[in-house]
Amino acid sequence: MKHNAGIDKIQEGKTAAMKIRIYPLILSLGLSMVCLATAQRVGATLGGSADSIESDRQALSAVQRPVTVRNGYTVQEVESDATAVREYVSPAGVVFAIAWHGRVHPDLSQLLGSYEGEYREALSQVPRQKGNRRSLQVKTPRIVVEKWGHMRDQRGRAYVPSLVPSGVSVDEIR
Amino acid sequence: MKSGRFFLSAATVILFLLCVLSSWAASPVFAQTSTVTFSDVPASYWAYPVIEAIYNDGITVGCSQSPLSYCPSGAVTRDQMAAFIIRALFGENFGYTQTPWFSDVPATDNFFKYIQKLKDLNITTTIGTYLPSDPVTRDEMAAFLVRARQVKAGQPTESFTNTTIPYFTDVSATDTYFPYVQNLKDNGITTVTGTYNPDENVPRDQMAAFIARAFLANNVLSVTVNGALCDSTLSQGYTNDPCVSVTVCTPGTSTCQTINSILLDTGSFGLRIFKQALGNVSLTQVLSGSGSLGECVEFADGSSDWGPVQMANLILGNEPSVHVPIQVIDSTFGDPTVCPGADQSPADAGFNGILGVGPFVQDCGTGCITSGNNGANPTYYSCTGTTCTGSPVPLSAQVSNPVASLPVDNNGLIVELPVVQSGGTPSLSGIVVLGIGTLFNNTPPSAVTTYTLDPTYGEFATTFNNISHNDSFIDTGSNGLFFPSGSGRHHTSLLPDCQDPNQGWFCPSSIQSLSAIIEGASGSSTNTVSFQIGNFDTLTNSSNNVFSDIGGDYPTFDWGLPFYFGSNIYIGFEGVSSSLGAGPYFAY
Repeated sequence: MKHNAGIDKIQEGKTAAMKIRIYPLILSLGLSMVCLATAQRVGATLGGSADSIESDRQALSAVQRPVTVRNGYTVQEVESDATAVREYVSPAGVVFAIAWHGRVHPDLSQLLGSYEGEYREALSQVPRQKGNRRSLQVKTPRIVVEKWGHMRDQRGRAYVPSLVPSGVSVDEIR
Repeated sequence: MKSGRFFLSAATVILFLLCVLSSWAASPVFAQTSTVTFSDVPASYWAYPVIEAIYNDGITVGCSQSPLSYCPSGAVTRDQMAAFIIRALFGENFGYTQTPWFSDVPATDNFFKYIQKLKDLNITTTIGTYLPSDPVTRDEMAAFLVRARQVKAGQPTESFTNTTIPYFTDVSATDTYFPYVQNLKDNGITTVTGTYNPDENVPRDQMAAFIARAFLANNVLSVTVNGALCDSTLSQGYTNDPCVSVTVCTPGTSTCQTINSILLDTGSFGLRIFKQALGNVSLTQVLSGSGSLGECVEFADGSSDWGPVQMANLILGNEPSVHVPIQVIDSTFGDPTVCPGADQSPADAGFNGILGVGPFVQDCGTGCITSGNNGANPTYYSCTGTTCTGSPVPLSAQVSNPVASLPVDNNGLIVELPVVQSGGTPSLSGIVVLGIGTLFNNTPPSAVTTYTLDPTYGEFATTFNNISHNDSFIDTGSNGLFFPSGSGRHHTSLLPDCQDPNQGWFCPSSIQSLSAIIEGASGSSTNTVSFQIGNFDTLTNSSNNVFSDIGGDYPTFDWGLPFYFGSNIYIGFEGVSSSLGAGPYFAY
C-alpha cells in the first residue's frame, strides 16, 4: 500500500512541475504524456535498457546531464531539485546499477523497475537496529540496495551483481 | 581540623599545576573582558577569565585594595569559601538564622551571614565549631559545591547522582567524598584527569574556576552515554547511546516537561520529540497556507520521523528559553502514508527524541523554500485533515537547531566526552558546552585546528586505504566508526563482517590498529587519526555498553561517537564565526 502512495506522489509532483513549464494550450497534451510515461514504467531502469533512463528522468521531473564514459561502461545522470541519480550502463546497453544523492532518497519503486517487489519483500525482513540511523543494506536473490548519508545528503545505490561488467568495482557505483 | 592535610609534597603540587596549566595556559584572552581588574591577575594568567567572571558577578571583591588584588595563590579559608558560595547563589541580600550556629563564628564575624546561611542550607553539615580560618581541601570543596548546586536546582543537598566508575586513581569508590568528586567531574566543574589530589588545599585561583564553572556556566548540558540520562528500557540493546535532557514548555506558560533519553545528534539539525513524551505540554501549530505544517524526515536505515511542526519554548542547560519550531513525532498526523517507515513510539526508535545540533541552522535549508520541495518525496507538507501535499516552507518555519537561537552562545558548541578504554565501559558522562569563545568556559586553546565543512552538505574529506571520500562526516548519532573496509561490501580478511544478528559490524579475530587522514573541505588542514577496531560480538557480549573500538562497513567515512571520546570536538555553525573561523566547520 505504501508503494502505491509513492506512485501517486510522483504523479502529483510531475504534474505540478509541468504546469509551470508548458503553455496552457498544450496542457492536455502534456497530461496525456504523463499518463504515457507512467504506463511505460513497467520494466524500466535497473536491469532494463538504456532507453528506460528517459522514463526515470520524466518521472523524477529531472534534467538530463551529459553522458560520462568510464572504463568499461557509461554513466548517465539525471538531476532534479531534490536528488541526482546516476545510471550505470554496460557495453551491452543494460543498466546494471544506479546511484543517487540529494536532500531526499528518490522513489525506488520507479528506479528498481522489475526488482521492486523483491526489494520490498527483503526490506520488510531487515530488523530494526537501535543506533543505526545512517545505513541500510538489503540483499535480494538478484540485487543489492544500500542507503547511507545523513540529513541534507542522503545517498544510495542499487546494483545487479550478475550484470556488473567484469573488472568494475562496486566502489565505483556512487 | 584535618591538620594532616596541610602536608603536601612539592612534586604533587607541581604535577597538579602542570595539569591545570596544560588546559588553560594556551587559552587566548577572554574576548568579552579585555580589562584587567586585579593588579596580580594579568590577562595572560591561566585563571584570568574565571577570576574576571566571578568579579563581574559580584562573587569576589578581591583580597586587598590599592592596588586592587585577588591573591590568586593564597589558600581559600573556610570562611572565604562560605562567602564565595553564598554570593554565587544569592548575591548579598538573603535571609539567614540570627542565632549563631557555631561557637567560633559569632554574630560580629565579618563572614557571619554567609556561614549561617551555609548551615541553614545544609551545605555544611558541621556541628559545634566551623573552624573558619582553616583552609579547604579539594575533596571538601567538592562536597560544598555539589550540595550548593543542589540548592540552586531546588533539590535536597544529598539527592544527586554520579558516575559510579572512578574517574581518578586517588579517589576510590570507598572514599567519603567519592560521590561528590564524581559528580563534580560529571558536570565539568573539575577538568583534571588521572588524579584529583583530594588532600590539597584549594588556592583562590582554583576556587574562582570551581565557582565559575559550578554557578556561572549556564551554557553546559550534561551528556551520558548509556547513563543516567538514558531511559534504561529505551537504551536496552542500544550501544553507544548519547543521551541529553531538554525542557519543553508551552509557549507563554510555565507548563514544562523535562525529557530524558534525547539523542544528542551532530548529524542532524533541530529538535524532534515523540508526542508520547510531551505529557501535558501543548505546542503551537505552525501553519502552511491554510493547512498545518508537517514534515517527513528520512533516515538512511529506511526509518523516518513523521509529524507536525510546532512552536515550542525550549530550555537547554540553564540558558534562557528559546522559541523555535520543532517536529512532534506523531505517526497518526494528517496522512501518514506519505511518510513510509515512520517511527510510532519511543520504543521503536530507542529514544524520546533527537536533538540535532550539527553545523546547519535549519533541517532542510534553501532546498525547501521554493517549489523544489513540491517534487517527488517532499520534506515538508501542508496538511488539511487527512490530505497532505508538498509545500514550500520559509527558513523561519523550518525545524531549526535551537542552539543557533540562543541569545549569546549561538555560534557553535563543544562536545566533551572522556576517553573510553579498550574493552569498553558500562556508561560514560560528559558535557556539551554551548557557544565558542562566548564565555569563560568555551574559549578554544590555540592548539585547536579547524577543518572547514562544505556549505551544502556539511562534509569533508577522509582518506582511508589511499582512497579519498569527500562525503565524510562526524556524527554523535552514529554509534560506531563506519568506513569502507575493502571493495564495497566484500570485506578484506582483516575486517570480516560479524554473523547474524550483528551483520554489518566488524568482527576481526584480533584488535586492528588503523589510521585515516582527515582534510577540511577547503584550506589545507589535515590530520592523521589513529583508531582501533575490535570484535563487536566479543565486546558487546559483556556488561559494557560504551566502546571506542567498534565499527562497520560503509560506503564513505562516518566518524561516529567513538571519534568524540577523549577529545573536545568543536562544531561551528553556518553563517556565524568564532576565533576558529567562519562556519560551518569542526575543530579539535
